[in-house]
Amino acid sequence: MRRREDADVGMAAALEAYRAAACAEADAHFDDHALEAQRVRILQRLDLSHKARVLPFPGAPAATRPVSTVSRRWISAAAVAGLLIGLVTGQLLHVLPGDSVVNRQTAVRPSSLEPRTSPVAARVSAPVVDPDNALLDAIDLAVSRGGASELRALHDLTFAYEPY
Amino acid sequence: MAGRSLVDAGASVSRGPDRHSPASALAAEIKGLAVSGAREEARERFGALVALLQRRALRVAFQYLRNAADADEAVQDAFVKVFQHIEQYREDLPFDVWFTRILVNASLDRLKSRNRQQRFVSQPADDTDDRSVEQVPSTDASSERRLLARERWELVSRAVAALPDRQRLVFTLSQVDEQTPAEIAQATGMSAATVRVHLFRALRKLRGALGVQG
Repeated sequence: MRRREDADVGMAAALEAYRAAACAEADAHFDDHALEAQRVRILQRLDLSHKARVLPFPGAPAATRPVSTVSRRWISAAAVAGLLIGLVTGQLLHVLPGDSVVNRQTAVRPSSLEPRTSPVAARVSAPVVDPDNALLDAIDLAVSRGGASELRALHDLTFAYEPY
Repeated sequence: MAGRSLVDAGASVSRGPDRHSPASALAAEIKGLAVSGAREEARERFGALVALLQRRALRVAFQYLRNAADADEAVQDAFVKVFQHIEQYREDLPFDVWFTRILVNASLDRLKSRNRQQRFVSQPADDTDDRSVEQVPSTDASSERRLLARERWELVSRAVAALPDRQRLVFTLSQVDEQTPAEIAQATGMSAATVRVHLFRALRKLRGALGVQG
């Protein structure tokens, strides 16, 4: 019992000595001057952390700044949409039968009519050529009266023509 | 059981958590200033708080890190963090406990950083141990007693340095900062029982190192 008490006292004394020595050791490293310097540094760090702000990267001109991701996406989407609309419209024009036939006839008519019709008929078909129409009207009138048999041959030539 | 009785004795002798301590009152005042937007005044008052706790913080950090530069950095980091998060401080709790927790975390961060550096860079051996032997205070006139005290300090210091991290942390907070197991538990996030176990084991190892029979 006595031995244990002595051991406790010895240990307590050792710990007390350790505590005193540890504090003295730390205090020797950090004297009053060091404490003051540290205090100043802490307050400076507080200032820096308070005033800190993010600066733009130097040398990056505003004109060459890349377009934002959002607008780049919009541009891509618009390009894709335009392409699709073009393709669909093209397909629709090709597939619709009525339109395509009309277009085909419209496209073919001038070249296909030329060899079938005579030069006179071609001339008659032109609505702007009023003298020709007048001439033909005069011929029709003469033929219907029967007074000009010499014009029959000319009438036969132009009989098949039906203006559209 | 002697180790356990010493743990309990240390706890009873140490001061308890005090939410009316000067540090707590000052922290509450700084928080009030910061919340009201008077940041410059808060900063000025914070200088007083630093002056109040600085030495104690350096003692703890130095004994744990065993390096003056690291201790200096850890204490600076801790104070900066305290100011940055002062609005989160709860006045119903003692400021010392909150501060110790931040200080312990800052010291642990510094320790991890140092270990990472040492993994890649071989550093010269720290000479703090040699200096510590020279700086052992001794009020005794007798050179024999001074020699004995130095010898004892060397033994304890080596034994403390050889302790596992958690035991060393608990021992340092208990013996250097004189914190109770409850305060250490709050500061480190361990349970009070775990703190007592670590402290008991640390004391048992030190007892063995000192050749004291228990």
